Amino acid sequence: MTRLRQGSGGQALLEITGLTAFYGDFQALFGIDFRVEAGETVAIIGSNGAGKTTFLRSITGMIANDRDSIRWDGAPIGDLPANRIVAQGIAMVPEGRRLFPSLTVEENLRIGAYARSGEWTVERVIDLFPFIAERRRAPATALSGGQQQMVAIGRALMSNPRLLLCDEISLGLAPTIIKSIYDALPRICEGGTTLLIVEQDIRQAMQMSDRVYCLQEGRVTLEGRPADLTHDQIREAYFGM
Amino acid sequence: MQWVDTVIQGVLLGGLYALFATGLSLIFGVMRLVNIAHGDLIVVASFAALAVAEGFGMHPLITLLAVVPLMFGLGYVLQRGILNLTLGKDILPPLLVTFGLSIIIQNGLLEVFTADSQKLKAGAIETMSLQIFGGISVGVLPVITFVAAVLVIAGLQLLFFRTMLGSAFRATSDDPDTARLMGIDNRHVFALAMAVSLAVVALAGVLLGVRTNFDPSIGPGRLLYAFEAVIIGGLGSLWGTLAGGVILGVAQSIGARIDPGLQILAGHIAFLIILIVRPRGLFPRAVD
Repeated sequence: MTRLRQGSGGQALLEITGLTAFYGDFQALFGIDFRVEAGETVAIIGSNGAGKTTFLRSITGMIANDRDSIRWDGAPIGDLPANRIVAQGIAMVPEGRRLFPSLTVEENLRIGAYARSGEWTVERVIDLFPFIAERRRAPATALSGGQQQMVAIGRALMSNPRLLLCDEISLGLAPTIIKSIYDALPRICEGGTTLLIVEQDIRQAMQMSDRVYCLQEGRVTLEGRPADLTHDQIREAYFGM
Repeated sequence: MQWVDTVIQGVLLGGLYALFATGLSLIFGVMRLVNIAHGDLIVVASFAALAVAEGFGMHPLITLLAVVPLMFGLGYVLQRGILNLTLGKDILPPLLVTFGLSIIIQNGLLEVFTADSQKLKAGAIETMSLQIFGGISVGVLPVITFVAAVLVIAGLQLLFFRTMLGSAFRATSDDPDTARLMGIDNRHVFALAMAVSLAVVALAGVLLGVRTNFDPSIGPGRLLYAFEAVIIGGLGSLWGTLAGGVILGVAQSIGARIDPGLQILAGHIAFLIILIVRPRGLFPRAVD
């Protein structure tokens, strides 16, 4: 797979410095430093409670942060509310799919383009996930888990994101379904979309990413290219032992 | 034939109740907000129409051109400025705040318009009637009211199921957090929902004022009818709300035929029976 890559001195697409996050008195993130270059596929691994979802919620504006802690294409976006993030070109496939039950499959896709649209259309999403063609008018709840996951990815793509965040897209799905979903991701990258995936399955994360970050208890414990990391390093970073 | 006549008059009366109820049903459907001041806002619309009609010497039905946009704007500001702040996991704050609003509105109207009973004078149209069949005649105004209710509900149905804004309404109602991830500004969507609700309230208020007397104290009674129509029809279903209004209207009309004193009571009894037999109403939304 060929990838666009900027020089290492260039400006990162997403640059996060010293990010902290709190739920009331509870601190969930302790000074995360993180960057994604345009065209890269970056994976985040970590056990339950490591802060992966909180981290994505911070990027998407669901949790308010310091303005300068998150820079997008050089511009500070840490304090933007969630409903203004997607217009910037950052779309999220939330954990658990979260399709809208009152909307049909096609309406779920179209609502993805509410704030921003571009090359991705319902037809192109169908091209990526052909089963949708026959289920356009079905309520979103009538689909299987795997199909819902594909619609959730399609919904995020409808905003034509430059960066697509995928939170645990393999959770609770059968291995064959997971494979067909992951097989579709390279075709998304071909369109120039950068991927940031959160994944419990370490092997899957290693296989498909250019770089991987490991989180543990709200801190980055490891960062590097999958080929450069040893099993011991990963175990240490993942479990802290 | 008398009974057929009674039922027809009841159906037409139900159109007015459906108009009372539609706005209430709509905002409950979108944001789970129960607006206790809904009835008083209907009366606000009646008085607004009165002021415009007398101030500019307009026919009451023409005042709709001013009152509908006015109430639309009031709805947006009310939601954005006050009611959005009350929405959250706890369902009590919106109830308390709209209850307070109800009292403020009643007393405000009392200050400005006094407790005198008022009526919107629409001239000949008030008494015009159409012969239909078997010697039964129906009033032109009730027919207009019923047709308006059907058109309003059909229009809202189109808005909800054929437009992007409608999808945004439903998506926000399903899952406000995920809706924000789609770029939907919940505060704006809720404000638009309240604005549309009060635009319908404006129509209901004007038609109410042309049909009967009104004064600042009658809001809670209209709220009660609206509630009953919404509950009979099933929460969140607009066509159900129309059916609920019609059932309420027919029950009242039959009650009044038996004994004029039974009109109101018959409506409440019909409501209670349906609540016992179908606690979720006749056409509850499939998805809750």
